[in-house]
Amino acid sequence: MAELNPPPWEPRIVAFVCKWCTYAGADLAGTVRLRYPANVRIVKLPCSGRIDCFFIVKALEQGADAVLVSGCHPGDCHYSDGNYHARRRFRLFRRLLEFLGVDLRRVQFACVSAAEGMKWADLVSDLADEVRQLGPYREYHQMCAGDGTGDERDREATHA
Amino acid sequence: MMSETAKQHTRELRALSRKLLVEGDVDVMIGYRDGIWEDTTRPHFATSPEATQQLVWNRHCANNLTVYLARPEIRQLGRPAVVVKGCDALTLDVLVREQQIARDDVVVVGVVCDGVVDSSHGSEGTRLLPKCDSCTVTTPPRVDHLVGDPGPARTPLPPDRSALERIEALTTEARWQYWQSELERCLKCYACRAVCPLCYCDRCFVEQSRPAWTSSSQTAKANFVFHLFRAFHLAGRCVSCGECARVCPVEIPLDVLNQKMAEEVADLFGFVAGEDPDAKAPLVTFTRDDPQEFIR
Repeated sequence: MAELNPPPWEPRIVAFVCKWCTYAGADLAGTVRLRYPANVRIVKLPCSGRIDCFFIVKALEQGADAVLVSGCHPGDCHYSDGNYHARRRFRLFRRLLEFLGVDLRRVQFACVSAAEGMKWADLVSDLADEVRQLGPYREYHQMCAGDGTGDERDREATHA
Repeated sequence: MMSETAKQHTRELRALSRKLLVEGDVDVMIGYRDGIWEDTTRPHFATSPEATQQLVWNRHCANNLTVYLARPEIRQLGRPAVVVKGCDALTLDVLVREQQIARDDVVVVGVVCDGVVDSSHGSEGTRLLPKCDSCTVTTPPRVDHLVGDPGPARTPLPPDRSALERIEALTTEARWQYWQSELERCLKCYACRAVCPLCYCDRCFVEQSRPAWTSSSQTAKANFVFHLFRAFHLAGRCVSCGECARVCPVEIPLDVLNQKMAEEVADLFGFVAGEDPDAKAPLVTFTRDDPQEFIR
């Protein structure tokens, strides 16, 4: 009888992406059949300006080992300036996370256009490698463990 | 013991308040009165000329009274006048900018202030609050009435960065541990929020249930999320009046978090809250060539 070994740990990365650029870019990567790791879970939003900093924290809480936020390049925003606002907000938010001791290697930002399927595939591959090196985000997940809000159960359910 | 200056300021303040109420300029005078314990004060809402006799000014007038201006129950009292120190006056600029009050709807009575005593060192303490040593606004700016003589400006000490530097020097892991142990003490009493003039949301994210961004329970996670976003929502707005840290019953260094954010906002966007009432708030504007060194 074959021995049942649990599969090796794989990082879980949540990507919040804008529907006009990065989502289309990821779609393109699929259409042209580029291979990239399946570690990324994509959440599509209308604009990087819509990506609230709460989303990042919530993703880490629910078991993400890293978060990627990606939108349009400067000048490309479908709503003209959503990504400019987002850029300011995230620049500042990173500094606060850093001050509180959050590992910034686990909260990443990118610009990927609808034509950059290759960039998306490379980005996700690189990030997956980086996070694989870092290992699970134990500090953050331990902080969230056992607070009785049900997140713990959610996490176990998704791990199973 | 009340100093001569404090007595003089109290007399002036009472006379001015009486005049404002008698002449019908305002309906309520928001000031300070003696507290329950010696060497403390508490807010006073004088709605009649007689009630102005309870107003006081001394070195224990710590509260930032602008916190009451946007409150519905205070608005019901009618047109307000408010007593402000220099640090409190800066909050008014932010409240006006964010359209919480109209500047013409409030009469601002500034008092020249030479520092507030830090009561956390007992009633005999004469040490001033940390913010007072580096105060640059002993004479409140942009007021309607000024009580006291501006006199020669005191030379402020540079802001105390010692706590900030100590934390910044730590490794990421040590910073995480440091804040975890600080925030662990949080009781979720929300005194920091109640006392802050800029925490005026009708419903704070902590109490939102759809979606529930965090839980209101007293857990490591919920405490972290509360303080992370309390600091973030005040970034670029906080004028460092320091009230949050002063009222915290478990002495979480909230002022250090705010100080950090203020420094980052100044560094990243060249913006100092309360400095120029006409400058655009940093997070509602942008430039096309904002740096993006952190974007891949």
